[in-house]
Amino acid sequence: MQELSDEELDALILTRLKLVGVDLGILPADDPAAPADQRRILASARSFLRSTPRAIRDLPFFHEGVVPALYPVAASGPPAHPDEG
Amino acid sequence: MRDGDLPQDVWVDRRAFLLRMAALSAAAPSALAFVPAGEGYAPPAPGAGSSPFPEAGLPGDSSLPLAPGALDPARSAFEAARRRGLARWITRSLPEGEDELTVAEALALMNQGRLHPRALVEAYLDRIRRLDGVYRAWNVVLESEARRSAEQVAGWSPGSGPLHGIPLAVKDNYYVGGVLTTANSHIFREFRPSWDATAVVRLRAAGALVLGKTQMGPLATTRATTPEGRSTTVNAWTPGDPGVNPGGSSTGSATAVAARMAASSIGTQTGGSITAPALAQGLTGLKPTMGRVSLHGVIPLTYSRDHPGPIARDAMDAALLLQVLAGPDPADPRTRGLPPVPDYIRAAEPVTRNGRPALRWPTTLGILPGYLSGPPLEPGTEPEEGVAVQRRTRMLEEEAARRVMVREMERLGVRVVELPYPEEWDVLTGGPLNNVRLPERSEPFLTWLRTDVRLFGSALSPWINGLLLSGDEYLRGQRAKARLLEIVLEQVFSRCDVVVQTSPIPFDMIGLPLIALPIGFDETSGPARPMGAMLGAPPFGEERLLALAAAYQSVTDWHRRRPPDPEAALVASTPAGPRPWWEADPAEGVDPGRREALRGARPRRGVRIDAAQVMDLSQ
Repeated sequence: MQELSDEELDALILTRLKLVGVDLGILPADDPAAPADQRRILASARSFLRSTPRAIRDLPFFHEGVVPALYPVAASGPPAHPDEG
Repeated sequence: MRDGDLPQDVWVDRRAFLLRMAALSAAAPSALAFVPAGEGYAPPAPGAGSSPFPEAGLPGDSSLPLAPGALDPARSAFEAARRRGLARWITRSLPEGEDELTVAEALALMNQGRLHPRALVEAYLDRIRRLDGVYRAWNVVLESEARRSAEQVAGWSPGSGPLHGIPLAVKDNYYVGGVLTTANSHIFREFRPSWDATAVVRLRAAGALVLGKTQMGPLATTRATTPEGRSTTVNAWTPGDPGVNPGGSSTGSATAVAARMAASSIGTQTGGSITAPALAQGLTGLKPTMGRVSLHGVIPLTYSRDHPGPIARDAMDAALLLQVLAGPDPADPRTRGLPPVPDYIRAAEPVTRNGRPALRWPTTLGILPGYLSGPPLEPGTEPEEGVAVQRRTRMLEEEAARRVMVREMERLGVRVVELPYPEEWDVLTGGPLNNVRLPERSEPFLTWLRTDVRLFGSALSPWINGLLLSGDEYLRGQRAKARLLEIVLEQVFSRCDVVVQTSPIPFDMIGLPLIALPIGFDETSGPARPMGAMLGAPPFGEERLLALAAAYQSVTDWHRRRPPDPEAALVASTPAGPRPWWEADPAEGVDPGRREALRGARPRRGVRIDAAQVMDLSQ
């Protein structure tokens, strides 16, 4: 899958934050002397999104594509013919 | 050896602990249901909102008195030790100053009628007054209260508590009734809880005196800094060099003990915050098993990973504190239904056989790859320069110290085995999986994130990132933690009783106990700096860790080394202490042209939060 651009990720981050009512706009845009600025916060968030969800998705023990017949989805996969219902 | 003589880690049901941890993670979002109702936030004092130093004196009634018999295990363990003879705890020529006494030594002297608590209090207050301007370990010093309490506890009597008259330092994220509890954060700038954290209630009930609140990394993140990220507390071994990491986030607690400004202390650990400052400052820090010590009344960082515990001078002092701290608390579901609290004091008493120091229990120590000899330099590697050389030299020094430590332990009778890293260790303990904790940070603080993100200062990023993880990712991450715990129990603790660790993160993730202890000093450049080792154990392995540390400390003296006081010129050029974080000028060290703008951008102080919001935070 193609990497998302910085702009795409920034849009995702800012939209998500807006949905929960968090406003980064109160921070300076780019000020290395400030405790936090929008540029650094967004850079950190982009790095987080580029690494963490993928690492969790690719964890061993959790198989992709198996029928979630058991909860939690077992490391060994579902039984061959899971009962319906 | 009778079964009753075995340490708890031998007979405890590890599978039950695994299930408990899995349930704890899943239950985290609904844990509020377990928190009792009640006011948690005192009404603001008149004028408090405008003063950086609101007056103390708000109601200090503890709304959660200890249940009858809650301290019985601690009292029984201490009484048994007293019958065995507390004088045995004095194993060296007594130092001249009271400030140098360990907790155990002070208790033994008080038991003999040779020491009064007020002498201890005055010794520490004197050092705080003279030297904390340099160390910056404290946010609040309860000078009057400590003096008054020391007079009230009087001399020793048969009913005296296990920590009778012992002055302690308390990290500034523990609620202390009527006393500022800031967590070095703008959010709590004016927060004065009206009741004590359960840990503080237990310590006071055992006779301990709260000397004050210590500086910390903002909201228990980094080393102690202002909310804007400027360092405050220094390493007691290098007071003239703020650049040397003192360890965090329980920085002030460690510096207070290392600099002999308190007999002992309590901190909290979510990602190394007890063990790191203990390692950096030559102390013995113990992070207990998840749930062993109540977190009720501790400002939260990560519900499924926060652990309170002692940062002490040696293993016996850590045992004395843990003996009092440990136990079930109706207000903290993590503490319920655990195995009974064992006798930690006995575990930490040194043992001799045939006149020689020995182990209390047969113990196998697991050594992981690279612990005793890190990766060799690649052939043809060019000589390093500057900082890289220093780092490499320190690494070699640490490896040498570790080898000596292992040899000493072998002489004590420890069996050493080399272990491979467990399956998928790097994946399951790496940064991305460690990030799974972040939603647990963000959720209780959402109100403040929405109010003004500047309240989080330089620590903001992880709180924002925690809002970006999806629910399915959080759940899968929690299940991966349960898998990690299962692997560690199956592949590590089936082959050893104690294992070396170089990072606290894995055992912090899965709630297993860790102890940090000094094993030498790095004297390759500048002032001597402590080096230490970190050892981990299976669930409820605190006795094993304390016993091993105590045996090691009976044949070494690293834990007895005392840092030299700051140079007189440095003391003379520094304002007198204590100097809390809020005394720092936000524009200190900044280009004059920018100062006014920075001061103007400062977030408003001391956001008011109501009782319901405090209960949110008290998860």
